[in-house]
Amino acid sequence: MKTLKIDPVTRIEGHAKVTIQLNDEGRVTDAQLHVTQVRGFEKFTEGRPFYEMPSITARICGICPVSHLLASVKACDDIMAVRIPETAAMLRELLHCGQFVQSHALSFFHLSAPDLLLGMDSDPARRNVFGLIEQHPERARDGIALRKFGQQAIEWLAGERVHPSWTVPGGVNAPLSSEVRDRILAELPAAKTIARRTLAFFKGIVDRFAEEIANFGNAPTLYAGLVDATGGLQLYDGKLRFRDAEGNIVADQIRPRQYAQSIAETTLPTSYLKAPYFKPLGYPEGVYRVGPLARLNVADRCGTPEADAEFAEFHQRYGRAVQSAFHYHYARLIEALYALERMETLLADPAILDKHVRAHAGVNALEGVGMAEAPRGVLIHHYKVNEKGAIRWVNLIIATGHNNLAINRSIRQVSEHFIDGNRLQEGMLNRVSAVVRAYDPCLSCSTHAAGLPDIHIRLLAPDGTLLDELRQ
Amino acid sequence: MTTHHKVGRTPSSARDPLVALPDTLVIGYGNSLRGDDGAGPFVATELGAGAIACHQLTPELAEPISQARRVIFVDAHAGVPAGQIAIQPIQPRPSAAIHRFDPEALLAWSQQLYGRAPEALLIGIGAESFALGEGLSPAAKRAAREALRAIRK
Repeated sequence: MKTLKIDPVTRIEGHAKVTIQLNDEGRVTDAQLHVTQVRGFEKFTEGRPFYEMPSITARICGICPVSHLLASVKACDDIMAVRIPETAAMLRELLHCGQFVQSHALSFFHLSAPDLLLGMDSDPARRNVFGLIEQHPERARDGIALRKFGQQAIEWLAGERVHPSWTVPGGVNAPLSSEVRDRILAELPAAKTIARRTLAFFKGIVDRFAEEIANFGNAPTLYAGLVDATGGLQLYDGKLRFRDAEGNIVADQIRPRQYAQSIAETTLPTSYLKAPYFKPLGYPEGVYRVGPLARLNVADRCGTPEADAEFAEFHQRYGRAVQSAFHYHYARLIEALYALERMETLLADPAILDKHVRAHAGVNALEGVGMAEAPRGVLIHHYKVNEKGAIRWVNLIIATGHNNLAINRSIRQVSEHFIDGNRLQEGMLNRVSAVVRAYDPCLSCSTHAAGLPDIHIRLLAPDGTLLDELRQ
Repeated sequence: MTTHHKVGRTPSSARDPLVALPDTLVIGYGNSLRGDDGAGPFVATELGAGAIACHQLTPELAEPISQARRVIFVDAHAGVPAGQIAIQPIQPRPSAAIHRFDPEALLAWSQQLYGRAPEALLIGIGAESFALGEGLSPAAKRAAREALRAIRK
């Protein structure tokens, strides 16, 4: 028996390593993702006033602080037992769409495009964002422009690009001005053009990755995501739906307060990342996936014209429940287009300028749950407070956590197919990293851990002796 | 945006739009919640229009950099004696790191993607404390004022 370790895994958010077990013949027998940090937000927030939770928990992540803000303010809305003004909900969703655009652009262009455009087996010294700039400057410019649009929209709406304080329990703290609305609307067509162009480009190259598609985590799992009352895709609001690998809906319209009926969590001895599973099926049979691929698998439609056309084509090409984790990239691009269309729809509604954007209340419930879709999947904030509103208990279930078990399965599958332990090659190991990247994991979020992104693969002999290793 | 693309896709004509570009772009960066690390944003904020105050350098800055005739980066520097400033010219230097941009890498992005990297200076502000907390130490504030005088010259 030998063990390979990829430590650290690169071009992801946060620190991770991968361990691959080999038998004496050099064939893969097991593989696991290890997340090696813990930050402890669930503990150190105990005792804080509940209304501080949005600004505290937003610090979990610099990529998707808006998602944490939204899940947190929704949990606070629940504690206050308020129904926020309709315009406030629209503005929160608008902000959220901006974040989806910037986060998806970051994942596709900056993190995964080097693999996709330069090649999985290309020189690792050049298989990075600067190599991308040199060889495909037009794609790099598109990536920068699309991410900039999302970041700019967030800044215009909320005053700050990262950790904006505009979103508050009860709504948002200021209405939208017509000037900001018009500014975003003016920039939207160019952003949509980039999203369309990137989708067309990706659809033109996707068939080159037939071997990756066939072996990148296509073991059957359940899928989970938020949908509206009619099954349409929801990013900000909605209720939870689970669909199985055959496309059957196995649970639907689960309200935030009911999440624990469907989701249970276990811990793995090898990782700080918790491992949620679908409770009715138990562990480990209840493995499910979240994020762009899962959302498009779970939903019946997107709800905007161009994204719906892409949604139909996506499922026509790959089936009702698309299995390969490689298609997270494809789904991510469809969602970027959806988010842009959705922004356009929201901004075109005169109600978006309404001045009533915040409800005020104190503690009216001792428990609150907020659920939203983060770019990487369902995000759940669950708080319990005392009569004075001080936090007594917190549970955060983060998008990447939902994917923990599925990522492990995907790593194992990719390792089994691509890795020959007797002849270790960088391109083999890069595919292991690439399948992790396809999920766009945010380990800072999922362990609430800080750190730089790295991958480290190690090959150990049966007695634990280090035989080979590769750092990226 | 049209101009940006024109510059980036037609490097040979990169000089043409210069007449419409801002003379000097100042980018002050750092974490204003870590004491003197906020010196860069402090300087940019004091300058107001034409300056960008930010937490950290990001790829999106490559585009406005490419449009400026000259760019001045301002950052707190532990290696410069507290209360003093150090001004040095910098050149584009490619880097694949996207989590920790430095000014040289941004200049390289500007050159590669948008066709030009302007003349660039880095002003290091001598800092003495990067402890948690807002506000500059007296020494860092003194150096920041010195940086403002140097920029306005």
